[in-house]
Amino acid sequence: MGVQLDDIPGLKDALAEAREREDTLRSQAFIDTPFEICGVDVEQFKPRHLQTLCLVRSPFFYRREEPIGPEDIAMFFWIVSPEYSPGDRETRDLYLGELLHRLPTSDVVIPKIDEYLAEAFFDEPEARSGPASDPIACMEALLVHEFGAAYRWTPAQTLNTPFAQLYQLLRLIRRDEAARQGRRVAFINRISSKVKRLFVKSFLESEKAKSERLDGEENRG
Amino acid sequence: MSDPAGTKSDGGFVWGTQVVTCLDFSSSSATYIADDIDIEDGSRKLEAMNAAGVVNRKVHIDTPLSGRATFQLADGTTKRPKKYATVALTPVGGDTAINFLITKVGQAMKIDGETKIPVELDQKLN
Repeated sequence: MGVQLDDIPGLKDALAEAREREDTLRSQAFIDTPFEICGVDVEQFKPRHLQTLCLVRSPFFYRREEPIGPEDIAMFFWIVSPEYSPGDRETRDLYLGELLHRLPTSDVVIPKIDEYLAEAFFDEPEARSGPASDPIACMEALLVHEFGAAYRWTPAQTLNTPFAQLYQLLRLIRRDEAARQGRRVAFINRISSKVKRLFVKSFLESEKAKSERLDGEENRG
Repeated sequence: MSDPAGTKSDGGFVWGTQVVTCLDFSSSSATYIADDIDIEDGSRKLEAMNAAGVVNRKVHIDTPLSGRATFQLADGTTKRPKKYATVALTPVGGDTAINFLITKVGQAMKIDGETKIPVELDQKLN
């Protein structure tokens, strides 16, 4: 076999596009400006946002039967807002009251929030194959431990760093750790790995069809 | 290009990313996307010294190619590669594939339906 990926028609351009998208997502994680979802300013998604959303059992993280409503969306925006201040009910009520009047409909906002969360978790660590072992600590503890050990960060520093930064740094920590132990770890780039697999699959199918057609022609001849 | 006096080129192959087929001892085959291919073309050295202990003769002896790669599974039904399966890799620009044995299969990692496995390779001689 030994087909170079560069020889598969269209793959080089598709991969360049995929890598550019991955690069943009990764670089924007280090730009310290607020993001915007449907005209609402939000911070980059951080572990402390996740902790608070879990405390209020936000339906963006806890499944429930009734659909996600405007109040759930407004509460999500408050928690990830640059104006968020824990325990400051007056500011919260003003923020929520104002926001509920200008929020687009749920069917517009929910996909945008899903996209914002997907981008935050873009470099989330891969799962090991096989049955998962029982967790011994929560995700926040894992991150605090990893970054405390690797960079001597305080728990507050880790919990206030965007997931999109933490997960990229975690990849590098794991790569270096494996190299020190003489191992290699496989990392998956969500967009480009998928592009490669789909192009290779389609290429192999077309090569198979071509060879079957040639065999058929030879047999008829 | 020939090697300058006193030197021997080492690790000059470029491998790129390629589609490979693994053949195991039961002759079943599976296709993978081989990435991060890192093959070393090394040698070992025998030295002889004069009476004063100064090296005055040496010979370099080729060692089999060895290295590492990451295999991405071509689809959800592809099984993980087996140890001692044979895989042919072709250097970029080269037309002759070189056979390798898989000598170590690492931990498979999965995300969003994609699976990658690190493997270690040693040149197959016979």
